[in-house]
Amino acid sequence: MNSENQISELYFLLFNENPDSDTLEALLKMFNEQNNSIDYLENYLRESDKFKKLSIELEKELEIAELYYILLNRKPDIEGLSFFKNQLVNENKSIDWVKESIINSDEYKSK
Amino acid sequence: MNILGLSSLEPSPFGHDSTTAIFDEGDFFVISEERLTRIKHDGGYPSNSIQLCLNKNNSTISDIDRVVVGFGLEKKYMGQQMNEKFCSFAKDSGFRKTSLERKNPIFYDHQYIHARTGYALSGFNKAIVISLDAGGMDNGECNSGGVFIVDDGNIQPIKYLPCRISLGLAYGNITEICGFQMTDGEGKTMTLASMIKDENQLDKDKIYDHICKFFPYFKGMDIQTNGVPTCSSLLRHDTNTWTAVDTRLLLLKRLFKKNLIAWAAQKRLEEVVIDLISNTVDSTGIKNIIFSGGIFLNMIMNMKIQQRFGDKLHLFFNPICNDHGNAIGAVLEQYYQETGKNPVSPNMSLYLGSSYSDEEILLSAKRFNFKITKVNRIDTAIDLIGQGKVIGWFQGRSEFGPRGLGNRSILALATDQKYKDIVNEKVKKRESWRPFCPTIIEEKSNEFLKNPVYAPYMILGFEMKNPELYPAVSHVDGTCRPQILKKSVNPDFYQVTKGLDGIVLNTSFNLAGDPIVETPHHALMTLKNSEMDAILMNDFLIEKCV
Repeated sequence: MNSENQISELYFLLFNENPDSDTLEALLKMFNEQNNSIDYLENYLRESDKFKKLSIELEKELEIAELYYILLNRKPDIEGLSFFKNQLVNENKSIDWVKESIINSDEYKSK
Repeated sequence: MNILGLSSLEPSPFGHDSTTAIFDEGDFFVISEERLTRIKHDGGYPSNSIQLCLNKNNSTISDIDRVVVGFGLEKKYMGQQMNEKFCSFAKDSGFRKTSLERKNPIFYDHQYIHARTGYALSGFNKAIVISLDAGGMDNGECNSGGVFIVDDGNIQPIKYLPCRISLGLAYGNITEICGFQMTDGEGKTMTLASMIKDENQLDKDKIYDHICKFFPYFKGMDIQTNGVPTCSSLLRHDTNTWTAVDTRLLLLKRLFKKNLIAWAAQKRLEEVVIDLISNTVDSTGIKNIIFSGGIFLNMIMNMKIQQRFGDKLHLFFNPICNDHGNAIGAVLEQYYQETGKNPVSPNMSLYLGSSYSDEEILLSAKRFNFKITKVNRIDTAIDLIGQGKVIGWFQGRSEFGPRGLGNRSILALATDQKYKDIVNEKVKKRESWRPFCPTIIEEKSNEFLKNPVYAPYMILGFEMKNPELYPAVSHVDGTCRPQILKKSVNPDFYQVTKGLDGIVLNTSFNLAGDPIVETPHHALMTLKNSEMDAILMNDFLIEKCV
């Protein structure tokens, strides 16, 4: 895998989007300056404000997903995950509220 | 009585590590299909290894008394078809259907055969066997492990773990999200797990908490789950590849670096297996414990088990605990069924493959433009390694299993970090962070290792006393996975190791992604395709022409 692909793949893994050309160029330069260390680049990206902001949402998604597996023994559907994430991020609901909502669902009751 | 034992799941899509063993007049010849096809973990029908076993035994299938298979059959669906298909594959592979069909192959249960293998090699009379892997079939039902009591050869299952809650599959999923291939890269995950020196405690606490929610655990001897991992599989012609699609894992992969994920999974695996051992001992009162099934290739976990229970229990880690070993295990079971006896001795030798004559070596070498010199192999090995050379050591019968134990090995000095780098990057062509094992002569094990016990198979890790003095064979956490060598096990290799102050870097003779070399031709190709300095093959020193 060439350097550009390696960097793009890492970027996509973290942000779920491709880097724009300026970002890719800057990352490539940094990669070359740091002895082609992908670990260095990963640490750099993980420390970025963009990722820190994103990781707050990802952590909430993870907590929701864990509740789905624990309570419903299945992976969350996209709609459910999106709904609960929105409740946590934008509506100030708590993870306990999510848990209670799942417990009150027909699916849970019918298990 | 002669017995042909197979470890092959074909034509199921879950085949891997196909192996054939032939047992005749008290002797084993065993070879994995991958060694001959050069496809790592080859799970196809083992026609090459069957043929080689028959050739070595100067026999044909019609001469074989029993054919046995170390995989059980599922009752409801596959089982009815398996025997027929098995025989059909045999026909497709060049054997007359009627020849194999007439042998009426016996399919032995999977974890049960892991238990038989471990028990036979352990030397214990009464013991518990704990067998854990990704999955198997016993009594027609799929499972992910079992616990057995064995008394004087009689194996009684006391617990099967349900297939859907699998420690092996959980760790395999972790392996996959760490960027390695499930059923192949678990050793890399284990190695990566200790590389967390620079990570902060907050991240470690967080990931550990999440992994605990993902990983199965035990209540008593019952395995529990917080939700069965979801994964998908892709059938290829020779094996099956798995991909993690579990939402939790995919999010973990984005949120945490892979060394942290590996660390948390390794820690959790160790904890839950230690729980199972404690609970099993409490429940049975038996203090001889045997570990079998592929999970016990995890030598760091084995080290933790040894450290935790070594002074209270008698422990045996089966060196052929993965599915390769079930070809031997099926033979051992059949032998026991017919004679009531165990034909192998404790800590049996694993030099069970082919050896090659001088004539065969020279014939192979003719195809290459190499310099060939007749030498004293032991003195020459000591001289070359002492001078800082990296050499291939190809002697006698090939080892069975995933480790080079001094007959198909690459050797170098243990005392300088640069040899680790050279062997990783220029010889084996693999990741620079991966450590190598040492071979240590038994008399000096106490000099190099903390609390050593005899460990001839590279299945058990130890903490080193002075890892900084042996950087080529110690990992970042100061551990190593040695072969502790007695002179009687491999006299020539013992002399070489002794001549290097009792310790030498010993890694399996192969390039990254390849199976261990089997024939002189494979070894010579490896010399050609790497920056290894030379091979000692019998008494021939084989070098590239300058």
